[in-house]
Amino acid sequence: MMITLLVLLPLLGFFLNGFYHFSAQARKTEPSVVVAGVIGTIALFAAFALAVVAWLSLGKSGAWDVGIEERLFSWMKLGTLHVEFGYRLDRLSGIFTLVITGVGSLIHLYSIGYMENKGSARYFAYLNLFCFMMLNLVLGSSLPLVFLGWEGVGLASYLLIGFWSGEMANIMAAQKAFLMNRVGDLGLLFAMFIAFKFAGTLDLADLSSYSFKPEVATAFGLLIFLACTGKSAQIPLFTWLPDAMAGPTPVSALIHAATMVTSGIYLLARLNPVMGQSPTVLFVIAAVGAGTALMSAITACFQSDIKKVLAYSTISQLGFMFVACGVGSPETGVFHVMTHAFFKALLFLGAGSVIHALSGTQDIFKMGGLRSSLPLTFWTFTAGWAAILGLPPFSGFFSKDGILHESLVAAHGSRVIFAVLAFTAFLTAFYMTRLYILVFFGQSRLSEGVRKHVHESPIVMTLPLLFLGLAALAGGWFGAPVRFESGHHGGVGEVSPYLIMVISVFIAAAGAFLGYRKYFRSNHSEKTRDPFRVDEIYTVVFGRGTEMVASFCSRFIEEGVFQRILQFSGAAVDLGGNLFKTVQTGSAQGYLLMMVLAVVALVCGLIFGVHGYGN
Amino acid sequence: MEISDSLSFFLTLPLFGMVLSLLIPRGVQRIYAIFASLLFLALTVYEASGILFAGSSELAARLSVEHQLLWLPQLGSRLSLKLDSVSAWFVVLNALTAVIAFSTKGAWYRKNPKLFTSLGFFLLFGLNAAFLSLDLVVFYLAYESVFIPMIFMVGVWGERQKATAVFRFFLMSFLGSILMLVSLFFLLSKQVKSGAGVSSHLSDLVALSSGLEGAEAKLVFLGFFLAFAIKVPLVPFHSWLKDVYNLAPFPATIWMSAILSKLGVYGVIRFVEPLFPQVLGFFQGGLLFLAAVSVIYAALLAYRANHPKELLAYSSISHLGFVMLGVFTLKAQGISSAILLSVGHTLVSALLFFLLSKVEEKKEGLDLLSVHGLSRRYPVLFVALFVAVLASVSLPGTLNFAGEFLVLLNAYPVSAFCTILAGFGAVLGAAYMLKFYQQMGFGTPSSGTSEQVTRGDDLGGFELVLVFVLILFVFYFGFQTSVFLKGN
Repeated sequence: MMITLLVLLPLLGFFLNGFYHFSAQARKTEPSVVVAGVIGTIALFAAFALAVVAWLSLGKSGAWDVGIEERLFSWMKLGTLHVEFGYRLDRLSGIFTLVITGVGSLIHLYSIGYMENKGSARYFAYLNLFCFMMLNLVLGSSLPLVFLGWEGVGLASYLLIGFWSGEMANIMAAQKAFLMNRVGDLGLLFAMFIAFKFAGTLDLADLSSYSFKPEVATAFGLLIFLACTGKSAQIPLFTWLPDAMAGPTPVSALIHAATMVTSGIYLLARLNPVMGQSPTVLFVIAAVGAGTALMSAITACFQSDIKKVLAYSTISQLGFMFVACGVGSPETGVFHVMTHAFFKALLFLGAGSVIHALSGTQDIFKMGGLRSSLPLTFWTFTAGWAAILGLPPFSGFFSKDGILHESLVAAHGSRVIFAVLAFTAFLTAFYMTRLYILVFFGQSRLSEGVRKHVHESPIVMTLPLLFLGLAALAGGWFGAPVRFESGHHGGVGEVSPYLIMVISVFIAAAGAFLGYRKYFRSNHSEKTRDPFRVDEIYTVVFGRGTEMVASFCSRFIEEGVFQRILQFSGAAVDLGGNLFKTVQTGSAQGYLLMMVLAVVALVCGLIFGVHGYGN
Repeated sequence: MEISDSLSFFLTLPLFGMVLSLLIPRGVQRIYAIFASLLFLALTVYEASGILFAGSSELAARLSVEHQLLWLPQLGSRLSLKLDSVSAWFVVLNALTAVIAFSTKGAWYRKNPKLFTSLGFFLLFGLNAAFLSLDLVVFYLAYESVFIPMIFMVGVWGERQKATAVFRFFLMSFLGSILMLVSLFFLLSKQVKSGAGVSSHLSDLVALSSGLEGAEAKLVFLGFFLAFAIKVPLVPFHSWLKDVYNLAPFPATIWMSAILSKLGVYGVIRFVEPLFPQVLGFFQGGLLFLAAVSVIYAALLAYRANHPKELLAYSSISHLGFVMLGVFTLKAQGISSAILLSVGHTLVSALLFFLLSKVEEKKEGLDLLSVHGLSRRYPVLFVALFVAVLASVSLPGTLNFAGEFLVLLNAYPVSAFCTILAGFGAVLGAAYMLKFYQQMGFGTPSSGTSEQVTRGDDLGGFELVLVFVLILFVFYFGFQTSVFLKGN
């Protein structure tokens, strides 16, 4: 029952903090952030400890299909459908579990320093709820349970993006995330219907070994992929993620960088055998991944909000992982999920530390020269910067290189995809250096009021930064812990991984140099721009579109047809109205009498009517 | 006429409760109504528990009870009651709905409370008679009798323009009833002509209807079907609903959306399916399409609605579209799923309307455009409302999710197109329910509507317990679905 306990611990934390929230409210006091935070952090840290034990118990074999299975109860049993509620921890779900609970506990700890007392119990309750749902997503042994986690993390994300509910803009950002994800969720829902119709099962293990007819595999794969684009913010469902930055920064680090947004990669890796049955699906995944990576990297170069830069960067990095899944090497994608969780969580928490120090300033053109006043933040951020650029020996170097290499040599790799990714890597180095320089180097551009209060963050915030900095530095040395096999070569044939390494380091250096040249001495500020304007287009097409269809239904069909039919006989309505007006002025007894009379009349009518007919 | 069997209390006790309510003082009517309906709910669950919680369908079938009593010999009509695994759920839901409806507060307990409670108990009686009767004449009478208290409730405690609303409701419902009556008479006259003894018991009529052919069978079917389609309602037979829901007092709205709509669902499952299997099969494609269109069309109207009550009314139609989609799969699994979803829909729609009535207590003249930021002042109420919203958008883990999921899963092999069409209702559902919640819960009050307008305390006491228990049910049964699905 270890896995079950692991999953339930965050749920327990959710209930404890929820109870704490309401009891504080009943006493008309604010909950203490320390108490709430300790409850939340302990719940998750204990889950992490269990996850480590479970991981170790898998043994050293490294075999892909070894797993611990725990069945709890029968959830839905109808006809030939039998959905067990149960968990399964194997290598793939194990890595995700370790990342969720490990990075999760650090971010919980960090939040104790970041959040205020006000609303803190609610905050930690939501954060624990998120972890619970996320664990269901990766550990669930059947698709409906994955779906529970899938929609559950969407809910937690909604609650946390809109956490500061005083601003209506935050609520709208939360709503946008929820609705866009719901569109994606439909993909998973329909994929389940197809799976059940053709394979007769929704169990993940059974499904993975089932071979579908080609066209069914394509339909199933594309629907799964649609779901993944929603959760992992890929084209076409990515515009919610930048808006999701409205939430508290630790939330952005945990949900919108390290864990939830990688669930698409999890699902693709989990269903890889089925995905692989359709070359079309793989091609779409790789193409969309590469396109998203490039497009959002370009957009990131035009952002001036520190969190928005990181958000677009996350979308771009997720695109890399999708490419890995699309070219037929999901293990490299999963490896990048892990290293990305370290360095992107680090970057977000670092950004949070900066924002915290600057009393809420998020515009990078209003920062500058923070290197000396925030030394710990600066050094750990440097580790994150080096990791995302892919400088050796930082973790990103290994995983990003892996993807670049695979995009060329893996079964479905190609030169075009490699070229797109390489250019994206160049842009990544450029916009990250731009951010890094503008925040930490050069002249201070802080306003007077802010400058007085600049301070390094407390230890509960810097400690997680240190741990994550270490992980971002060394996390790649463990190599890809999930390499199934490396014998699948197709694509363009054999290419030396060392050549790729040299190319990629050169590209990163070039991008970084350009960023340095352009921004190191620059004093002008840039306005945020979205070069693709996808968000505006969506607002018009889908937002207004739905409004228009709904208006059409309500004005023309409903009011124009149905309600008019009902009113067709104005005289009849008047008659009825007058009839009831006279009825309404009686006493209770009068009404009752009428009621009884009506029933009696009805019964009599029936009896005599039919009686007569019968004769 | 002597009634002395174990099922008769389903009918006699509500009537007794109705008479008693006339003797109880006005001031304690609400307490009396809540206690009496709770007691009745407990007795109902006790009586039905054997069937409801039987481990298998065989056991449930063995525990089913049927009682017959000769009643209207001219029509061959018997008071023939049956409690089995279909009717048992609806009887329990009926009792539960009464508890929730009686628990609301408002004008109905100030103006003529005796009339209100006695109407409520009469409704309980009429619905139980409809849900238990296997005899179509008795069913018809019960079905008809249910309109009477509804019409009075809307008329006496409803809001503006009530006469028109009452009349529309009456007109549409009456139209449906007349059609059913004509069909029923047609069947009975066939019996007379064939020289066999007249009996309006379902099993005898099934034997008869299987002999009908061609256009005749289709017309008779349509009579029954339209009556139930108006009752549910299915689009395009829904136009009566908007004004009635809007103008009816909250308890009447709760009764209509939670249980009267189920009368239509139940009617199709219990009577139309066995009477006209071939005709249903013939029309199946169209019926599935109607159900799917109901889901989408009503969801779009809900999205456009400015009044929260109207929004919930359309949302109710939309979800009932899912129920009917399950029913029209015409397969045992689909129907089981539909019953499961019906239970979820009853719980959640009753809960939503109940909570909305609490919101209206805080601020009269609910309007999505003018009510803002209430969640800060009434945190408990709004947490409950949020959970109800989640159940309504069928978040996995809730009973409503299990229901919608199983309905769609079983409808997919029958009609992929209609399943996918209905599936989009899930996205629209989230859109309008979030709008519903956020508009009332968040934001700043617009100028002119100051803070003092709200009044009253947060959810607490008995009401909190009631809401909590309902939410617990929604989640508990969301995981323990085997209770509904045994043996299929």
